[in-house]
Amino acid sequence: MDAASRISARIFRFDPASDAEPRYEAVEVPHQPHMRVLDVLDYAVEECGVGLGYRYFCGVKRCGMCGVNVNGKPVLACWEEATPDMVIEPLGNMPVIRDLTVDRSAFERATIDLEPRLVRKAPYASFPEPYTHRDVAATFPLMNCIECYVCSSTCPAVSGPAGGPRTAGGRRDFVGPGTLVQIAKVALHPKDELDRSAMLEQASIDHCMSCYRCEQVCPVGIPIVSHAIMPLRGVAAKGPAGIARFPLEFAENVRTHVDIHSGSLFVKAGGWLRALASLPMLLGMLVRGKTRMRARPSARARREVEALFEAAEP
Amino acid sequence: MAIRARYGSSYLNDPDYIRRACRFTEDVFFPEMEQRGLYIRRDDRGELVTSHDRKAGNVWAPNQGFSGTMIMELLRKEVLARRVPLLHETMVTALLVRDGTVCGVTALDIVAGEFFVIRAKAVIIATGPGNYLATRSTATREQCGNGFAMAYRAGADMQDLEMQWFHASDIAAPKSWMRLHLYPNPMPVTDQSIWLHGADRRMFFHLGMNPKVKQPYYLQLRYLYDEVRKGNADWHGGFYGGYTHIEPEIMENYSYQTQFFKHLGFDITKDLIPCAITWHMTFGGIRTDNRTMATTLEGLYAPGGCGSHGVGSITYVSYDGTLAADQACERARHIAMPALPEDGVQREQERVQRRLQQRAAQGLLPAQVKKRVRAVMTDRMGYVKSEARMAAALDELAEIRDRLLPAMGLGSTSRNWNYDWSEALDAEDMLDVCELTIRMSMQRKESRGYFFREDYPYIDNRQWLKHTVARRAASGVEFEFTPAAPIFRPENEIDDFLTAEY
Amino acid sequence: MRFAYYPGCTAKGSTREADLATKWLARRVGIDLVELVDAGCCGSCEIKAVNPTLHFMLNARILTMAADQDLEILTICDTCQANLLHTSRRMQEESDAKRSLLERLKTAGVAYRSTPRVRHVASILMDELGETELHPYVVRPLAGLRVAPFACCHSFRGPGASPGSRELLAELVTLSGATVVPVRIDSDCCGFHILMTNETLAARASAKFLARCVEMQADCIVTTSPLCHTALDIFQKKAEGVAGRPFRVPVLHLEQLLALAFGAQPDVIGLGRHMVSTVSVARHPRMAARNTDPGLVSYGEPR
Repeated sequence: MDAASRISARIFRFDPASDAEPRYEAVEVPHQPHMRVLDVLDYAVEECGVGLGYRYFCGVKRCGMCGVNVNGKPVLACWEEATPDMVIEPLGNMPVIRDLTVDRSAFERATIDLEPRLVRKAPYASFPEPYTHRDVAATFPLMNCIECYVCSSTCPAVSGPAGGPRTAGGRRDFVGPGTLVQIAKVALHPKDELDRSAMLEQASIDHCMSCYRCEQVCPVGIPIVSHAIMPLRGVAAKGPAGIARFPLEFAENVRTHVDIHSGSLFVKAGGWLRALASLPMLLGMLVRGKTRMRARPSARARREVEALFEAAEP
Repeated sequence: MAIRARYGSSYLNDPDYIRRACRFTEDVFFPEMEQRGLYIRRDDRGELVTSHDRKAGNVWAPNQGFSGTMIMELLRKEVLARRVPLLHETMVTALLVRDGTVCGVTALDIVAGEFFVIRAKAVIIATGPGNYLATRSTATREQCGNGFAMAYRAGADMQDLEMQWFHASDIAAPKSWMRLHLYPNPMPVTDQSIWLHGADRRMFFHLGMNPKVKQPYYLQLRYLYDEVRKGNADWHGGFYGGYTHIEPEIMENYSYQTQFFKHLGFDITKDLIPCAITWHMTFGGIRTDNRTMATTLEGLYAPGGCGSHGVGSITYVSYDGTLAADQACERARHIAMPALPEDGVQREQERVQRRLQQRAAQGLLPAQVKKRVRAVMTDRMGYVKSEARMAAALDELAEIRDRLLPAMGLGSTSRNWNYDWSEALDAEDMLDVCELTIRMSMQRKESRGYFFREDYPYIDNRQWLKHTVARRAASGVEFEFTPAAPIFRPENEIDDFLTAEY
Repeated sequence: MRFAYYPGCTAKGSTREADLATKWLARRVGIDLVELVDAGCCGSCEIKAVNPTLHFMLNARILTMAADQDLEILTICDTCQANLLHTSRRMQEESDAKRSLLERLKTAGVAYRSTPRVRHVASILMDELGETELHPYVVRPLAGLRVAPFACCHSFRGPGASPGSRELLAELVTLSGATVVPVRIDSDCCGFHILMTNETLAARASAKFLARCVEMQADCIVTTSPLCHTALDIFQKKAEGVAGRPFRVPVLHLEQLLALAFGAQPDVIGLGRHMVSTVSVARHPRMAARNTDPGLVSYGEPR
């Protein structure tokens, strides 16, 4: 864009305390070199006199507070380049406090409740501890996370603005990827010795859809699913309530059948009652030839796969 | 130590304080933080990664440019996990004082729009040394001189506010990135550091030119001043930072910064990055006893950069905070809860309430008034100061106070997350602090470190190895001068500021 | 053209129609498919949670089976594709991780020598034939059919993603003569991978997309993954349950859509096997058009 260009932005305005419904306020902003969305918001206030409610503190992708949706895409206002036509709205999955300011407390509370501190059992000797950069390979990719919760704002497994009210039995709705990265930072630290499996079960980590949406939007480029959620799912799989054991059952199924035998997996995962509840669907599948299995894999294949399982043991 | 005294503080620091803070850094900070899980960068062999000169000992956690964030995150989580009651998005508006003793604070919760009082036996103010008082500043959005203003209004002594630092090499654009610092420090495991280039693209400064200097910021400014005088740079731009002389792998491997340049489309192996100066930290602050962090107001402690004992590193402010906490706890154990001042609360409540008003037809939002204040400071109170410019600044600020402030108002008087309301209080605080800073600057008739007066372009160690102290008085501002405590004395009595060894 | 064919578990069982349509399509355009027998499961998104090493090893074995025959791999499931592609990238690194995998594979009796290319049939069609060469095959352009493409999450994000896959899908839909209805937004997910652990949440996720399909008047959905197909077709009734409204949006595999456009009869490509009736697509005006191409033969079910 050249210096003479202008940016048109429509900004979401809503004060639940005094407005019946949201509206959009239009501003026109002259383009500046390297302009960010945040500069547009500042301009709207400082030059256009719009009394906008929005959060930011650092402007340089550290405080994690300036998350907004721009043309439907969740971004950090300080990081995202301003483009000629923008609709700027608050992040999703969080209640709107005012205008672009949202209530993050459900996610923040979940983070604190899940023990985000390193828990040592072996006593700490002295500085510097003897370990290498490789020793922190698991947790290092997560360290730049700034808790912006942009990921959680767009996660399809998070239950929307209601966020995380506890369900019956103390189990939460899915806490979201942002919180899980915070937990993974310490859970994957070489010195952490807390058994976090029960907590992760209660955090409903088994609700992650592995859709990688969080990785796609993370402004810092944290490999959230691969390096935080997957390892934590492995931890939760061994939890006492057995809520998150599906990955183990899946693995067992492959070990036994080479291909996935979905019938037995379905029953194992959900139990016979669940299978019964799905009877109409199962009958429908039967009628359409969807339950017929192809030929069983050979004994040789089973041996090969068994050998892989053994060789893969840590 | 001698180097720190000379290059770090221009002989205004207290070496004894530095010694204690360094001890704390080694004995307490690093072990405790590592125990909490702070990862101080190692290499594959397990050696700590530092710059070549190991003695200076820059370490990174976990990346250069990101350490502070990690440290703060660990400490914040500790506070939250211990369920220490925290009031988020709540602005302290005033210190409550009765008979020279602090007895609490008033605060505005902007989420609910509620004003309330907190009684206390001790108050620790830790608002930091940085304030967003000029158009470009390294302070964050909400640091608007509130800590200094509150302390000053409550009657505390202030010290050395005129010793105002500037960053020479922060990115010029976008404006929202003005805090992005192109560090002059060496890259990890090397002694390579950034070069500054003028408009003609020729290098005019790098750290290697004065190898003894560990904190080159004020040197950068002096060299930049030269370039500005030659027409080869401007304070607001027209000069550059460059990494083009450094091996690309070094920049890739460690620096958190490179992602920012890449994001804007720069190729730092070839391109120079446009820079401008920014209003940075203040060396001075609320006057403190650096052995206890106590201020001249009983019950008020000012650890860290908002105190007057100089800015240091994050480890130093941790030392300060630990000291202040110990002192405050000790005090709280031995005294009864003090009574509140008779009408102090009501006056403050009225002041705050007065600001919840709709803007007048020709009025400005507080953010717009703040912008005006910052513009005055940028024009008149930049790196290069003079009596005439400072006097003009006072006049222009007085005009803002007299004309714009009364007509200032909010976009809405809803009490629901009304950030404008806190900004209205900011505007008042900023005017107080800016005026005080200017007056203190006018008192110091010399140049020293970051403080440069074109009308007094020399370092006067005969008259000015002193701290400027100011306090509120019936007549306005009362000044006092106390001797600095240098263990290392400067060599010369008078030095030409622009060419002095330090 | 010859490819090692890796259909994945679902296409051999509950979504066999995808396999049928793929074979029909391959025969039509002259692609020889050599099915990888006993290749087993790619691990989906489960084994990588339990043991990432095992995940890579299972996939490396599949890669080897193709490499040993000097063949590139053709997939029809985006999750299999992503897992195999991610593994192939890992096996082409120069890294300790790769070296360690090779060691373990050797212990398990898998001699990993080279890494074959892995592509979804959609990519292969576009890469190897391209629009110009594919166009003549379209004897029954599906003009007027409004199709909502549902690209699998794993096709365009995550460590096994293939850049350009969403655009590719839209291009192929357009090639078939149909109209692309851009219903899918980035935050949609069909919820397949939690169907067994939280059916309701999965159904709610599908429902969001299905509801928009109805609003935007899509005649059908097209998928490139039998897993997405399972969630959107087999479990569509569950989605209707949580949404409290009917959807009745038929879901086609991409291979079926292309096969239809290339002249296949609906029963031959398994359009009768879906849980949500595809009759509305089969009865689409264009479907009734006589095809006068004498070279077009109706293919029976493969043995």
